[in-house]
Amino acid sequence: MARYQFVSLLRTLRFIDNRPPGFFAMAREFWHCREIAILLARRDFLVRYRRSVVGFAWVVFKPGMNALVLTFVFGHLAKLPDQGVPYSVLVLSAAIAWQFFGGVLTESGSSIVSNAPLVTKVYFPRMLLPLATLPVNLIDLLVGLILLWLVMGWTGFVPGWTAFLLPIAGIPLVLVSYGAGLWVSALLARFYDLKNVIPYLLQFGMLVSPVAFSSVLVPERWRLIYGLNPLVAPIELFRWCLVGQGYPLDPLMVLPSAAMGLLLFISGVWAFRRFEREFADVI
Amino acid sequence: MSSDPPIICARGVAKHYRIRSGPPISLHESLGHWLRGRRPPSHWHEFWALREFDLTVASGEKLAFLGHNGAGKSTFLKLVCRITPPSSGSIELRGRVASMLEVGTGFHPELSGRDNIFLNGAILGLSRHEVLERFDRILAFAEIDEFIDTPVKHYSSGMFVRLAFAVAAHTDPDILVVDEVLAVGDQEFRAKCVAHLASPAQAGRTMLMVSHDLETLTQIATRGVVLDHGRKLFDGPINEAVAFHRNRPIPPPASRP
Repeated sequence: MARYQFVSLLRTLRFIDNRPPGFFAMAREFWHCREIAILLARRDFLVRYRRSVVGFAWVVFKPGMNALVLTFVFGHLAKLPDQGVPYSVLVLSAAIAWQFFGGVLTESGSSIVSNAPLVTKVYFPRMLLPLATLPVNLIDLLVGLILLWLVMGWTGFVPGWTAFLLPIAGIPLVLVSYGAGLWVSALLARFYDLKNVIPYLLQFGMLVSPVAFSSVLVPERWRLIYGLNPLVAPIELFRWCLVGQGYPLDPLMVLPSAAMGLLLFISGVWAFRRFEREFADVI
Repeated sequence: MSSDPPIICARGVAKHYRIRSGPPISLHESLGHWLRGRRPPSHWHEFWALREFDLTVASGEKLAFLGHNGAGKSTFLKLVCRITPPSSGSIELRGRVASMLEVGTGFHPELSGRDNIFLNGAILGLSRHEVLERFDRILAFAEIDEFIDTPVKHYSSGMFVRLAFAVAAHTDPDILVVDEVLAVGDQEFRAKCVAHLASPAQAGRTMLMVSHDLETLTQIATRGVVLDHGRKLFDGPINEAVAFHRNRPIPPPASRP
């Protein structure tokens, strides 16, 4: 009943002109149409591995391979400090988070263009398209955590109570990934050649983010600048939860990074809102 | 009925596109112009798809838009559906709008008929509950019941068209937008679609239609609007509008690349 009243509220009068809708009208509509995101995510999940031979194994393979190579190069060859944690655990815990970010950025980035037939034919809040790529990547992340659990068992590492904080520590990761995805999807609709830059951006991003190494490695006087990277906070928080309370977190680095992440998310919403009205005209 | 406010009221609506005669702009080009502090070069030109367009539609009217290619018919429907914003002017709508999509838009070949019904229903503005309510009617209309859990890529093109139309036909919006979708399927199914749209059950629904098939339009529509190069030439009963449209010479094509 309450829902029906809500619908009729939307039905009363709509005014279309060349100004963008207000923020609250937009948020209300976004919430009203949330089922579309759920169904789009379901579609993506159902068809994702339908045509591949090894299917679901890809989810384990990607971060696993990543961690294996990074552990070997950074842990065994370069012998970087490991905070008393098996290097494979140190790397894999961050690699899972990075995999999530990369997956969201790539898929939500192209979500407007790959759903062009919908965008040019029917109206619904466009922000649902990048949003719908989150659930599939969250499932990948859960599978990655199972892989990490196996590696922990194999290396005899026992995580601390902080592991229970993971659902909360995952929030910044989701916000930063969605924010970046909004930016890329808004820009990609107009500048399609940006698509070729994304893999390099991700490669470069992984090297400047604390994935293959711990941020302890960064000298103290550089940490404030390192904190400009919006991915430092989500990744290090994620790792801290999995590795335990003994793992050092420098607030001078994590707080600026978290602020940058929030800025990325807010500006992503702003940029998307600015560009979304011309999507149907440019793709 | 005349005391009710109009369900659609468009005032001075215009839409222009900036068309480039060359290839589409790339990031490299755009950055180049931006760095030099200039707008993109002058081989852009303006194309007015619609200008100074006024229209008032009462609830329950069935409107057909007539005109040659590039006259602005589909553009107006896109504005009403909010797919693209108008460049100036305004449109007031009192009711839920749904468009009957080109057949298969939003269908995924790997998903079953059932999954596609729910996905397409949601995209067309129905809640899960509303789709469930209409599920049996959609199945009956599409005549595919035993294949409902088969991926639609295995459907024959006839089954596919029937299912897609069935979902679109059961959205029950206040304003239904039909853009060139009736040109699909076999003769028999087309007759069924037209009968559905023209049935007494649809009497209260406002419809906006675009089609090159004038015969079909006269069967469904009550009022016709003739457009030419983005301007309204004629607005009146459908038979007069069709006669007007048939009797005028074919104009030179719009300057659209």
